[in-house]
Amino acid sequence: MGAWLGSPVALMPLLILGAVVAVLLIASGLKDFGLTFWGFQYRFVPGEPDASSWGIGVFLVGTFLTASLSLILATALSLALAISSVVYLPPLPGRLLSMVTNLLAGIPSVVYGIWGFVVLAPYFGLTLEPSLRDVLGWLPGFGGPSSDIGPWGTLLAVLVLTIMIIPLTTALMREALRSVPRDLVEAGLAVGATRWEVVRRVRLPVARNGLWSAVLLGFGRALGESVAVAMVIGGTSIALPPNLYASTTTVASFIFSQLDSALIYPNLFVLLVEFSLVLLVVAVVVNLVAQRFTRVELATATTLGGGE
Amino acid sequence: MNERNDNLVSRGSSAGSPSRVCPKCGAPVAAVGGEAPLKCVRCGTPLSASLPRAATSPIAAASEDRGEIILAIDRLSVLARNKPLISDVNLHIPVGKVTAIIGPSGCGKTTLLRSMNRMVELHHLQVKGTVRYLGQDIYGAQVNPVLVRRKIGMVFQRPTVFPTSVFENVAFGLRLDGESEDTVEKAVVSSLRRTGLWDEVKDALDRPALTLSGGQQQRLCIARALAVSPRVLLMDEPTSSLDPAATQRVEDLIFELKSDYTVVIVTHNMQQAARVADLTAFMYQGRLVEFDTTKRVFEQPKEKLTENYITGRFG
Repeated sequence: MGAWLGSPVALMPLLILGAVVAVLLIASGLKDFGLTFWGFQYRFVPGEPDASSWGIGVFLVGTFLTASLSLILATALSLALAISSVVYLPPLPGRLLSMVTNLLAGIPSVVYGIWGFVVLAPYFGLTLEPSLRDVLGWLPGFGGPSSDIGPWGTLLAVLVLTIMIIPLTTALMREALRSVPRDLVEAGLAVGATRWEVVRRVRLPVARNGLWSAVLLGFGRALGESVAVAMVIGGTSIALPPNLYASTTTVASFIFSQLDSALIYPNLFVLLVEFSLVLLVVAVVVNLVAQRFTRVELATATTLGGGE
Repeated sequence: MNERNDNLVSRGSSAGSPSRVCPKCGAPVAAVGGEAPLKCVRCGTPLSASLPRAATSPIAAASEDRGEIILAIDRLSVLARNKPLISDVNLHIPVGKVTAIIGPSGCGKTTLLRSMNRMVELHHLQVKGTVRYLGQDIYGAQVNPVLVRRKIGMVFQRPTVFPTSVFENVAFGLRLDGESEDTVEKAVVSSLRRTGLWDEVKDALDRPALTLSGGQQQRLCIARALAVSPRVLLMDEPTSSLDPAATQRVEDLIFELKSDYTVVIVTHNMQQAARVADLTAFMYQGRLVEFDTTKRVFEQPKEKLTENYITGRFG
């Protein structure tokens, strides 16, 4: 009974992926824009754009810039959270911390977006941005003027993205740290290592692959986030940002925010579809790499004979 | 850290615990040549044997005349959520001997072993009573558990090698102290020689330790424990995951280690206890039933329970 059901069910994810790509390819009708959208041009033309108006380069820069910066912040914070909940906190507060971070993962991204827009943005514009400029102004990207449109810009999007991906990366890192065989941890302690020394010399090296996979999956999430980013990144200027306070845009948030105009301009519609294809490829690649790390992780755990 | 320093309060300081005096003659007990004395320098009273509480326990007292006591366990109970895992155990472990702890599954022998270097605390268990290492209560308020575990090392049921090279596995404890490369190398080589592993791995020091056989991995773990120069080695069923040949090698090693270390071994295998141990303690349902020389425990046990277990009537 299950045998003949097995293979079609197993093929389903593959079929879905294939169908999405095929439909997108047909919708874009590659011939319209061809691949001319590769490039960094961002000539703004009022009305309907054509092949030479926008290259995806600018959007990719915005995407990778926001995703990487938020990933750096999120990695540091989630690692600290994961280590403290697995290693240092007593069982009850540790579980409580896990529960709260898991709850945060379930909040719809539009809620984070509106929170960023209403709460974080004014605070960022009035307090955080001036002090960042004072303290870190010498760093490239942290000096220079505010954007013309207000606090909305790259850095604000980075902060909102950071908060959004922390629950995911924390949960994955916690699992990775927890899957380190207890025997190994105790063996470290038994030769007279402190808890911190065991974290640094046993847990982190053993969980390395799982931690990398957490980072990559967080990166995938940050790359693809559209709604919340569109709400706080400004998105008015389609240009390489002169500094981190400037407004820019990402592939995903651009697709989301331009969908209404695309209904009027067929060219723009084709462009957005092609952009989503690119985003799809990037996301698939990031996830494949992350899965590769997860597999290595499982293999290591098996050779160590973790758990009885 | 290679010098013999039995102070458990802080790393580095070489003074013995300053407040100790000989209970018989009142002479201060000071570290001599970095070595905490086992006997009072003035009157020769064995220091850990002279505590009044020990004398009240027949089992503990029975072990007094077997030599100097390195680990004195008195009225020890370990509880998990108020449910006792072991209760009221008195056990004095003499220096330079192999002491086996036997008993049926769930009798608390592993818990007892793990209370000897404060590993029980990792599982949020509650400890009552005292465990004294050369007279110092290892659960004392000022005692640093990390230093306890340096002096009282441990080897686990299954080999616990780290996913690094053979060399780095043995060097693990030494690296924590930031020892010089030279010191580390010497200690690694001498530990590997001590465990008889040197000839087998000397050309493979940079290989991942996980590529060694199970028996080699277990001896590597023993080498790692020895590298930080402990005085006591606790072994929790160290051969339960090994084949007979590898078991034989580990048992031979235990026998050789006795000249320099005190070994406490938990085993579910009575033949193993009979082969390697000078003294045997039998535990049943969280209590220490009998503790005597291995010969007497196996040939003429005092307790009926012990006899039933030895003769295979339960267990």
